[in-house]
Amino acid sequence: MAERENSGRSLAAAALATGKSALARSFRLHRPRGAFCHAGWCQQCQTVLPDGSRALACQTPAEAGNVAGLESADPLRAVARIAEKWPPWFWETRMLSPEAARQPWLELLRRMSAAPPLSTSTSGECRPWRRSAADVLIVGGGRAGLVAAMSLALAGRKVLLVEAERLGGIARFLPVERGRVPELASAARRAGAQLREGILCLGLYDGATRALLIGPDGPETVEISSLVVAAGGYDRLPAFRGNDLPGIVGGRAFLRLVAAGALPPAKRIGLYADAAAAPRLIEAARAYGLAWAWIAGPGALPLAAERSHPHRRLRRASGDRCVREVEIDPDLRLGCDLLVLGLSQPAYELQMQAGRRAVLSGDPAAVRTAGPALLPLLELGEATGLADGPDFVSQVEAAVQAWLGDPHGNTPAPQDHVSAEKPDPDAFLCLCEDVRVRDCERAIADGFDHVELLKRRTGAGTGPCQGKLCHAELMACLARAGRNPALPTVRPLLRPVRLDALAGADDGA
Amino acid sequence: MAPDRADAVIVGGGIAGLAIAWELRKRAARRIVVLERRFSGYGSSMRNIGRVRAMQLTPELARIAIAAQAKHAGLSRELGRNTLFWRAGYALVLYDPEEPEMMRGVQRMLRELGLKTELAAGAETVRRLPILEGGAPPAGALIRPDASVHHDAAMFAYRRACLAAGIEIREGVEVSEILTAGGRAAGVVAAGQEISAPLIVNAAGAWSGVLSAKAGVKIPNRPLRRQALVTEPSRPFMRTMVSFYRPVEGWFHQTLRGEVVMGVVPADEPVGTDLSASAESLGRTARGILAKAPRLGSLRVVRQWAGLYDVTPDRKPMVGPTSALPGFVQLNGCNGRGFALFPILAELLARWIDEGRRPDLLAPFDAERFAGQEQASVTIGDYYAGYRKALDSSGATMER
Repeated sequence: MAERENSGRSLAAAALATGKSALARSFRLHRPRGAFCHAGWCQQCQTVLPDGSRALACQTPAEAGNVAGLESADPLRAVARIAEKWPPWFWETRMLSPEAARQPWLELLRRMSAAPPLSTSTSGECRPWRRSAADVLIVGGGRAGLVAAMSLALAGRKVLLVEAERLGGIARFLPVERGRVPELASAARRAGAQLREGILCLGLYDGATRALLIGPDGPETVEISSLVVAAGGYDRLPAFRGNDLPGIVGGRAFLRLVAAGALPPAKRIGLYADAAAAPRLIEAARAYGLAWAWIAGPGALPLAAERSHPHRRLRRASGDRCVREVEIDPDLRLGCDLLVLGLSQPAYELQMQAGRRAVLSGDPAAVRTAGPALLPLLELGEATGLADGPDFVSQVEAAVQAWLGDPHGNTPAPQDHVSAEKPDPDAFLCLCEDVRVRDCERAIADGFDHVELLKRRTGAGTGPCQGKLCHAELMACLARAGRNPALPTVRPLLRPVRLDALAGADDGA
Repeated sequence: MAPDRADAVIVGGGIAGLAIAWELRKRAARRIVVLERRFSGYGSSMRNIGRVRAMQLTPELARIAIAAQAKHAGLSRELGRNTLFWRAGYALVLYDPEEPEMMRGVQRMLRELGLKTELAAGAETVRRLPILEGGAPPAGALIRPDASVHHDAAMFAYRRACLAAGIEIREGVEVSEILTAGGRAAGVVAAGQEISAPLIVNAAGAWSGVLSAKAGVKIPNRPLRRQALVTEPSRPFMRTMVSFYRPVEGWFHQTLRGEVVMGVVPADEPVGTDLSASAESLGRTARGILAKAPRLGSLRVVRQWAGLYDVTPDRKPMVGPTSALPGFVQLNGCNGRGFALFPILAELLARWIDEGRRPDLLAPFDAERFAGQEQASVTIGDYYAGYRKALDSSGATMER
């Protein structure tokens, strides 16, 4: 059996290992929520730790929390059930009279929030802002980023590579590929690239001439003249009924969980994956000695896969506070305690901030970017939708060399594609703000058919994940209604950051 | 194609444009076309935080702001849709030892206008606003139950009311030319198409100076960027909206949804319509707010954005007809108070247009007041110093 990833187990993973997948509640409707991404971006597993601080369970070491204390009973859920029937703007034509009752109404409304209380723990450290410069900023220290760092440094560029977690990216959790990471990293270092771990890129500023980074040493702005996006991808959550149930995790989340040994063999695990993602998920499960309860997908699936249902669509997931069963067409019911969704949303936000426009591509559609950028921009690896395979590294190398020859040449052609398939109106589109597909459809029909109006009308994309879970569905919803499928402005910050972490002195300001 | 005709063309689809369209339509059956370059609310209406403060520091502004708050209080009923008007309360927190003394004069001025405020001492301020515990000790605060609305809710209420009243809102349409005939405004060219109308309202917000220039009417308005950020939501822990002017101008409050919005204002922002947020403003805001309310430090920032103030030299709105081009009417220059003021300004302007007599409340804001003057330079500078000057010159009762 493959060796475990030894980065320690998170509170969310520890909870899952004991069979607990509901870790938090949605703010608006008090629906039970679990960790979907297990990587710190989906924001669905925020919990209050015994010391009174708020933290994402997936980013907290198991020892710092208390599994039993996560997500206790919620008396307001019963009240929120009534609001479930209404759209997010239900107050628009309600609560108007009697006029004297309007203020108490609003008080009641705001007290209905299931958001955690303001942390009682003391403020964290604040470090001063720093400034630096680089010819090329590479965001993402996986295989693609490391290969690019080496090639660009060898070509004489001053290269800064930042990795949000640890070098290796998703390859850290792939039983075979992880072995290549140290070699790629040392080659990049030998070539002269600067590689930094634990650094988040929060966004681009000043016409994409500067990037804002934050890490253990505090915030830092970097003047850049070109940008390589090798930030991999997010797990894509498609719109099907019951898609917000705890116990549904992304494919990359599964790789992390299985590598950390968080999945007991007794668990019934179902996999719904596209043809690109299925092989590595199946391979990882095999390497760690896990069996699938079943495997299904919208496209072809590896031939040898057991209990396989290729060319099927996922219709719905059901269960009480945790997924227990899914329905795939036509009318086939499959049981599971964990549903793994092997679908990808390539990283797109930095490209948008660099001036590209959003297009939809693939099925289920993901957000991709197209058109000219404000600076020489290269997207690499899984951020281009490239799937793992024996040619992964050589394809990345070829792309870097082509870009060196023509730095303005990496402008992917638009590939608009929207599945005609209509998702279940009850499916959640935005989990942060509890917005369903039907809410968006109704808002569009009511004339809120510009993406910025739709966002403000429904709240979709305005929650802590900043649209990572819903942008593709939001665009698809507009496209199905015959409207322009654009994205709202992708504003910084790319990830939530504590206010005190930004409060350090800034000599240059 | 025959030219399009309307009784009034409104340029700008923000709260100013929709409010004047609504008020004009309410008074008479007219064909009204609202032209919006992007989408309803793009410029400032959907970037602001919906504070509706009556407690202004100068008598002219306080008079109109009191009327504006009353207008907002009845807006839900008038438009038939909830704007989430909420008397959350407002505190102007004072940090300079001489500020409380100065505020006594303001308090008396407001009382004369019928507005009751409380002037709390330092310790009392912290007791009333526990979120300030552990921060810089305040010297006092001017407090009153002022209100806020949800900016999107109010915009959408206007939008839907306008559409239901038959007002045409054309989005994604930019005005390239203002047409004149016989020394009067005669129409606009928008997206290559002529729309003739005897009445054109400049409700272009931060772009009102540019639009006015197209009509050959010089106004001193300049756009200035303002920035804000918003945190993740929390269970309610504060209600009162806080503003302060010392040592930097800043503000914060918790919204109905539980997020905390905040901003800290630089005195040296250059004039321009740059709508991108800056990295510096993140640091400046975090430092400025945490110095006052350190307990907010654990909240995570999820988003930052920028909006534009349409600033005038005397920080007062520009409302009314222009003698240089009859038929071309200004409704702009609100210096960051537009969301609060435009509903009442629009109501009064519609009356002025129809009755031909300027309502008294609008006298200090007459759009002609800069006509013929050298173009006054506009900088945001120290807002507070600006108020102070205005207070001194207005002869507001001040105790020294």
